[in-house]
Amino acid sequence: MSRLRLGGAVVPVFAALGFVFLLVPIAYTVLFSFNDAGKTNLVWRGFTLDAWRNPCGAPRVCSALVGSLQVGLLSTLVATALGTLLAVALVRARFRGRGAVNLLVFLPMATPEVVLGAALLSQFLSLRLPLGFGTVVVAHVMFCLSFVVVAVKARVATLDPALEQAAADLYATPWQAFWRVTFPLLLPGIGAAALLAFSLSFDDFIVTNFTSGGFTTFPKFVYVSATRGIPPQANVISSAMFVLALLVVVLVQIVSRSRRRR
Amino acid sequence: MSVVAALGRSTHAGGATDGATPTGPGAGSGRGARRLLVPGVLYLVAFFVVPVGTLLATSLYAPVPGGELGQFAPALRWQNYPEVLAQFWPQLVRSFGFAGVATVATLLVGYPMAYVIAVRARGRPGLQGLLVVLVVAPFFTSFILRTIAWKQVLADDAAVVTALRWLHVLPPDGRLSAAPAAVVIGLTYSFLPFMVLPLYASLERLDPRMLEAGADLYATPLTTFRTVTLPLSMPGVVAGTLLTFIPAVGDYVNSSLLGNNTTTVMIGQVIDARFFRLLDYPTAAVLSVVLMGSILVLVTAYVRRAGTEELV
Amino acid sequence: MTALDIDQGEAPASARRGGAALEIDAVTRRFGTFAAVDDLTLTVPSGAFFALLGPSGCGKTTTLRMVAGLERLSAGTISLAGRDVTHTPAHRRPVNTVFQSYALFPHLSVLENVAFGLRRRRARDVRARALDALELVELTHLAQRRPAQLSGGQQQRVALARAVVNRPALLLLDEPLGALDLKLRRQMQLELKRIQAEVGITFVHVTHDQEEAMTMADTVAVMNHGRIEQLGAPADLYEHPRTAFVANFLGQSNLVPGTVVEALDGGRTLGVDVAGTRVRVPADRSIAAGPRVLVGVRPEKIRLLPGDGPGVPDGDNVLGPGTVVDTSFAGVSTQYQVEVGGVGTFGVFAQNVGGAVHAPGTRVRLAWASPFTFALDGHEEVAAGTVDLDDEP
Repeated sequence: MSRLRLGGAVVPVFAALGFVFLLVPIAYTVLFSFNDAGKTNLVWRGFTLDAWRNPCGAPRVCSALVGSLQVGLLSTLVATALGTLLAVALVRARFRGRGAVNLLVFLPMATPEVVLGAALLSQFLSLRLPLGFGTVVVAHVMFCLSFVVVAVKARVATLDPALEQAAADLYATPWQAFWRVTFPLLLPGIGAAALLAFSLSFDDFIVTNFTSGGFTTFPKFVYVSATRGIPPQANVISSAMFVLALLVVVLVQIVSRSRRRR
Repeated sequence: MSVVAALGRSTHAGGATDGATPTGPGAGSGRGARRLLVPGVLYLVAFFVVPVGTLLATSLYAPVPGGELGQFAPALRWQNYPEVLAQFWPQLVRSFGFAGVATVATLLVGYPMAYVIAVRARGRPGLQGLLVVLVVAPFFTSFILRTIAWKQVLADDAAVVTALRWLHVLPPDGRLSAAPAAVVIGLTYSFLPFMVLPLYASLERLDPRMLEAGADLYATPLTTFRTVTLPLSMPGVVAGTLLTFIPAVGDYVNSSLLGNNTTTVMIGQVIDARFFRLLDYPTAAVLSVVLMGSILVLVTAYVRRAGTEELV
Repeated sequence: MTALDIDQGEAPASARRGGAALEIDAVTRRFGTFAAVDDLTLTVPSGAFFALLGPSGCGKTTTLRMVAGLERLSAGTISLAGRDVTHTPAHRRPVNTVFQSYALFPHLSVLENVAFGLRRRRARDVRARALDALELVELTHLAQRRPAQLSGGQQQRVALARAVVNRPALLLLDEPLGALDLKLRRQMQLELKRIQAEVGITFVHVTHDQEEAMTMADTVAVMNHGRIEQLGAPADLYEHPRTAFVANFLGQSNLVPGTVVEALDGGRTLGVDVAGTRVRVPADRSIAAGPRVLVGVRPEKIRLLPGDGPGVPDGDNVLGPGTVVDTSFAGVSTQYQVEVGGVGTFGVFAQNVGGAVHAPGTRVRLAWASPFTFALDGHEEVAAGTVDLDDEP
């Protein structure tokens, strides 16, 4: 098999460098969450656990975080539900205009966030809608929807159509066939799509900036504080999210592997 | 007829599937299937199509003579386009330039990473899992904080720049911060997971027996890569480059945090400024429309040339 | 009394003794202008083991799916146990299917798979009945496993149990043994026969394997291009084929063109001229209308005689001399290809019971008892039903 190894050690070295590149800012962020910071937390002054012990110490950090979580959860819910229905319909059913719907789903992904934000803002302004939590959720569902459809579609396409036929053959009404056969088998894909939607929503800045008015989410808070000085508590929260994400993904991997083995 | 009844009777799996039994046109009724689409499509129409339409309309508005800042009247002022483009074409071109360079850089950095995870680590699911986690997890920390971290790492008196000066890669008074280089590095970094994941998915599906077949037919590892692996991973390359380039063109976080006000201004910053500080909605709208239009044209041409039929 | 002989009251339409289980009447299925199934009419008696046999693309699977309700009809009606079900959706038909890919639900255990239909119908004693079905296929010890953990043969038996447990009026099997290797397939053929006899449900088995159809079924319908070529008991189809397709598709046949020149034995035998040689054909085995016929004889009926030698008994037909062009040892028999000038190439199967083996190049004559000869209409295509390397799969 050695003939198959491209470039011997070269490729893994490059890859390792890539991983280092990927993790440098994370390391920096985590490191500075332990900094005995002055107003700006830009220069290393000393190790302290103060920020960790008091994560909500800086004003508006935690309210921004809560805001992000609220928006994230609600958008994920709505986007996942709408997206799953769309994905199932697009793969399983035949109808004219399928190409057009596919295009419609694809377009938001081909649109830069600036344009999405600008368009939604123009729309809200012309309708004289007050900007706040509602408009942010609407915007987030908007850009998450396409990603959910793509993720679930991929999963639906791997489902053997014979399974749904077998269910019908065994006296399941179409609704029962969906709930007892299709949906359970789609669940991993739907779960992945939901996770994707949540992470897109939680970390979103540009669209949020355009459509939130006075409502603050965590990324918005960080950006606005960038000029004045970002409190170390923000680093704490980010680091915590990183570790949490690591744990969640590792957990999912372990569970899926144990299920496969059983 | 109930909604899912149509689905239950329709047995044809559309799109890219793996050897589905050919059953011919299923009995799926158009009417039932359409009902399932309604919520999603309605949402997209209401919150994508209509707003883009509003944007288009706004781009043609004219300022109210004698009116205050932010007051515009509906009109068909086509001159908005040439005027705005004449003023801002450098930023537009620069945005595409930066995004292009960043995309290529991301591809060069990301491909080895994806290759290692998908091909070299095959058969060691623990290692694969760990590496994928390392790629995905940074995603969950704040995008802004990571960018700010770069600002610090690339600061004039920090280790990296000092080392580069010492190695004569940079001239003695050269800097990376507040410079185009920083912005491009930031862009490359921001979208790396978007490049690695599709590449990984595509490489993962590569049948290792193809590589064996290459070796069996006298190809060196490099030739096998060039003639077998690379072409078969093209769907991943196309998806990855698109998912990187498109957001990169419109990005303004990197350029505002890592750049300066003169040589690195990208179109996203201009749109943001026009919207919020200058309240110049038609200009912002024009720029948005032009941005979106050029991306669509580029994407269509690119996808057609790359030969991927269905992206979604 | 088998373990499955529990109260039938809940079964949607249990098999009634006597009467037809399935009636297909003038059913057509069109895809655009192409008719996959073309004006098909067919009756399957209750309790029978019925086989639908034909090559790929002949419409047999489409027919099966229409009976199951998974495919729409373009024309015609389908009746189950006397009830018109043409417009009844699949989940309300008293029919169950064993799919070619088994279609076992990967997220459910084997037991839950088997119990699926019972649960949807809210039957009583679901668990007990499911376990009984698993006992029928001898897989109770795997009840808690997932389908992915089973071998192909085991999955196939679970699929069968899942269908049989519902005691349908009709059980459809869509090439269920296709994915199994030869020895396993033979075993499963016998198993299926046993289970059908024990349970008494009408089986409709779709296959392209003619040997399988003949072994298992009591009635076989041979399909080609969406129509039925011939229907009957396996022996009947084999010994009395009515078209070249059936003659070539079931087993092998040697078909040569000839002309009827006389009637003998008071009309009970026909004398047919085949390239100068007189061949006797029993009149009741000839379905030709005019003088042009295709004379047929099965390879296993022919014996090889030395090229020059004594004549043959009066009741035998002789062709040749010809030359052996291929000799293949096939364990049970030795298979020869003999070229007879002016007539054609004949296949001959000689059972390996110690007779002489003729090497290629030997001059031989072909002899067989004349009652084994049959004749088809001369306008039939000689090669219908045979397989060519150039054929589409």
